[in-house]
Amino acid sequence: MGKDTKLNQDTQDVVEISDYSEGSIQDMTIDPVLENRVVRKFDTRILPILAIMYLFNSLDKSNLGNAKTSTLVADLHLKGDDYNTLVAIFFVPYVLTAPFLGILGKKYGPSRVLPVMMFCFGVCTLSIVGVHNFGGLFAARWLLGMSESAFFPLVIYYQTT
Amino acid sequence: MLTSATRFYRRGELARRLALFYAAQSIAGAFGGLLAFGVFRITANSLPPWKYLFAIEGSLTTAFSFFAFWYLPYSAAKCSFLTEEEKKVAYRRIQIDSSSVVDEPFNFREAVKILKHPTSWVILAIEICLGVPLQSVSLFLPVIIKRLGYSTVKTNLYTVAPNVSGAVMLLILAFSSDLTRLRFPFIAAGFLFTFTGFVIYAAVDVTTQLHVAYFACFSKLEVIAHALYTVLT
Repeated sequence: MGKDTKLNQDTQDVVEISDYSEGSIQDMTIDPVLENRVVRKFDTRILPILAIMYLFNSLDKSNLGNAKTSTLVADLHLKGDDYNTLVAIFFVPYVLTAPFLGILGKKYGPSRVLPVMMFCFGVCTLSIVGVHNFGGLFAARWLLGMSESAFFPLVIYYQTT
Repeated sequence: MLTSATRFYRRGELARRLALFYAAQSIAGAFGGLLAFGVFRITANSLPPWKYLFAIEGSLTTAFSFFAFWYLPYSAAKCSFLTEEEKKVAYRRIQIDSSSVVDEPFNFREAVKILKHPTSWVILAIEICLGVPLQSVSLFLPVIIKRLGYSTVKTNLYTVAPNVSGAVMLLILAFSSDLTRLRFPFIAAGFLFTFTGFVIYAAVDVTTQLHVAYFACFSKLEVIAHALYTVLT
């Protein structure tokens, strides 16, 4: 069912686009004043939101370093290379899930997929509050890596494609 | 890599705007440090201080995701803040700029074709060379600075300055790179500076030559972020 609605949406897009192209192919000149206004609107309405989203993406993966300067290691009874493993494990799903999230992003549009991913890594970060041991944090970092992957490529894709 | 039609920006317009995202990464480091500085002073005993950090950052992220879902337009044609006339301009300028089709469907075979270009592999290699120092600094900076012997609370405060200076330097350099229309000298210099930063930190005795080591942290961060920006654009 979800697919059907998606299809409808697609056809709608096509109709709209052909509306815009009518007569515009021959007439390719653009009013520079108008164009500047459009770009400035994108700069003030879209760009800051995306930058803030990316800021949180970066924050949620690097805050482990801040936590380490506190009592993280002692509270979770981490030993030896445990901390380094926790940092590194993030990047395994981060790489593996990226192509799939990229495809999803292309299919449903980054404007939908990016916020959903953001919700997921927000929840992963929240779940760390309930962690008691190495295993718990390991799982949380794994899921965090999954939900954060392909974020930046999708942000670029959203703006450019 | 960044070809095909532009949804919001033309290709030439994107370069400087991307610098903002690399700056955002540094600003996140600064913000995280500042937040940790504040949160670690909470002395309530119900939860360890670092858990408050995750709770605050997690809630902010989640809350903002709802806003973003509601706010972000699907494409330029769906922006409620554009007038009909502006939407037409937005669509047309992208058509002119781009060599490929707007709203083309996804095709796996087409997508894999990029692997046949040798340039893709060179860019990939550069990305790896950048990613390793960038991620390690962004993940380990608090730990690195802690090793300089500051207290927990102070350590997090001291991560702010390298991050902020990194972000500012990045934006200055990005704009000058755009202005001079030169990429290579900036990329090469970026790698060189990063290298220097790492070597200094490795060579000095961090416990006795504290200021030198802290300085090395600055040069590490600034430049990596900047080099990354230049390569991608």
